[in-house]
Amino acid sequence: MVSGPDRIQVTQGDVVTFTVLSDIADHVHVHGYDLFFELVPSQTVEVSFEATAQGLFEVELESTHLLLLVIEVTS
Amino acid sequence: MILAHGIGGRLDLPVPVSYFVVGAAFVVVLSFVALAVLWPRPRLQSGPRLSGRAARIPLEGFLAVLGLMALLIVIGQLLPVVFGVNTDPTRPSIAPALVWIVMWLVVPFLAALIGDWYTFINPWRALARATGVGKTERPELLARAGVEPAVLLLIAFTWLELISPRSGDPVMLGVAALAYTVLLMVVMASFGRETGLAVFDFFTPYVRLISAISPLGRDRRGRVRWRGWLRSLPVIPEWPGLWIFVVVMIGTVSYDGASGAVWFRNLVGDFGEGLIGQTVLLFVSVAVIGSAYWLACLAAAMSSDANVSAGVVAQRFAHTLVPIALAYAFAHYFTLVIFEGQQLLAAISDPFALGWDLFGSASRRVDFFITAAEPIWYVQVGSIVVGHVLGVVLAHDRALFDFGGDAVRSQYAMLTLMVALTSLGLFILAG
Repeated sequence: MVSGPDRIQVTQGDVVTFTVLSDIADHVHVHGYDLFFELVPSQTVEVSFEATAQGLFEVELESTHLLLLVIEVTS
Repeated sequence: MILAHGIGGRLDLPVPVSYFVVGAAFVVVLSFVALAVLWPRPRLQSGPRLSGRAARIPLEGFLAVLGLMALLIVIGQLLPVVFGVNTDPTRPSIAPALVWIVMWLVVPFLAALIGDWYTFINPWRALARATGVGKTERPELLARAGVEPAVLLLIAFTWLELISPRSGDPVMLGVAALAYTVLLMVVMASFGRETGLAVFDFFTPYVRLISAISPLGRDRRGRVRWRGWLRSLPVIPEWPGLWIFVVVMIGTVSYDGASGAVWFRNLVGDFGEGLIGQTVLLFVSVAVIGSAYWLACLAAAMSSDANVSAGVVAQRFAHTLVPIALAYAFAHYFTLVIFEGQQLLAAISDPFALGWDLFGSASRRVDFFITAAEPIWYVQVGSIVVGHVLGVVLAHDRALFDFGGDAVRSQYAMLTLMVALTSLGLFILAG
């Protein structure tokens, strides 16, 4: 189960920051930018990066392919 | 909750409604202009006449080795599992890039320019040649079964790509590639190399159809010569199941585009989130495109004095949808090729995700050198419109040939279909 926003809209050049709290060990994978953030069970992890490219980018748990949200980067 | 696509890190931003409206209006106007100004006698039906200088391109052996290596790398993804070695899931994986980008997109896209190079890079033909499998051809199978078995395998393949939750999993791709290799070796041994590939290897008719757009052909001695754009499409053999194959090409891409769109998700609700729901919707998409095409063919058959059935018309006009199918695929996937394709450069240094760095490129990231929305939208809308125009031209020429004096009347239905397909293609991009 995932709770939180399905979609975040940002402008190219913005720094995107959100936190993930997971009950399992896994990696958060920001597709496209191909960034990985390690998740430790029951610990809040901050995901942060600069949105340099436009488009729709999926963020998912790497091993279970569970989609967390989509980041929409526009001009 | 929303479900993830297995491949493709970055998706294109939806095309704005204004682009959609302008593109669709263009298509309607162009179509009616076409009816008025296009030639009154068939010009494309006699097939290509090769001209110009003949060139022999000595790459056949090289391409065969390249194809075979790619296949072995994909199947080789099973080796770490067999030997119980841990792989690093954060490494860019070579197998999805080879299967979903190179094989599925680059090979056909390039074939539209340079002709049917898949013939040479086809790893299964190379494998059969190397092992002496399938020397005795039984061409009667192609006449009887046509591409119907290939239709089923094409649907299975797109299911793996678009619906399977493991589409990006190298191990799954290794298993699938191994199973496909065994299947093709068995059918080539039973029916002959060329017959087995033509009937079962769906890449073969897929690339063959798209490569018929290419202006380059080969003469009897295998030398490359100029034949002119689109010239080979009207003389593509009407294998049984041809029109269904082309409909599946369009229907599956439509499903992929639509399933990412907000309106589609609102329409299907929770049903579109389960595996069964998605599978049903994939078939529904194909069925919708197929029914629309069938109805257009029925209308064309009824409006003509010639006594033909809708089924015959469907086969006779199947090739006219090929540029539209290519345009759909290109509009949806060209950014995937230029961005995700770069994964290959990193993955080639570490093909089994074991932490290697063979060529010093393992840590290379995708370079999003241009993601500005407008140029991408222009290419998307432009390719759909061009695909439509080529489809109209081909259908016009075929109608003149088959229906003679009734050509224009028989064209109304086909033209309506093509305007509808094109508008649908644009509408999906506007997701």
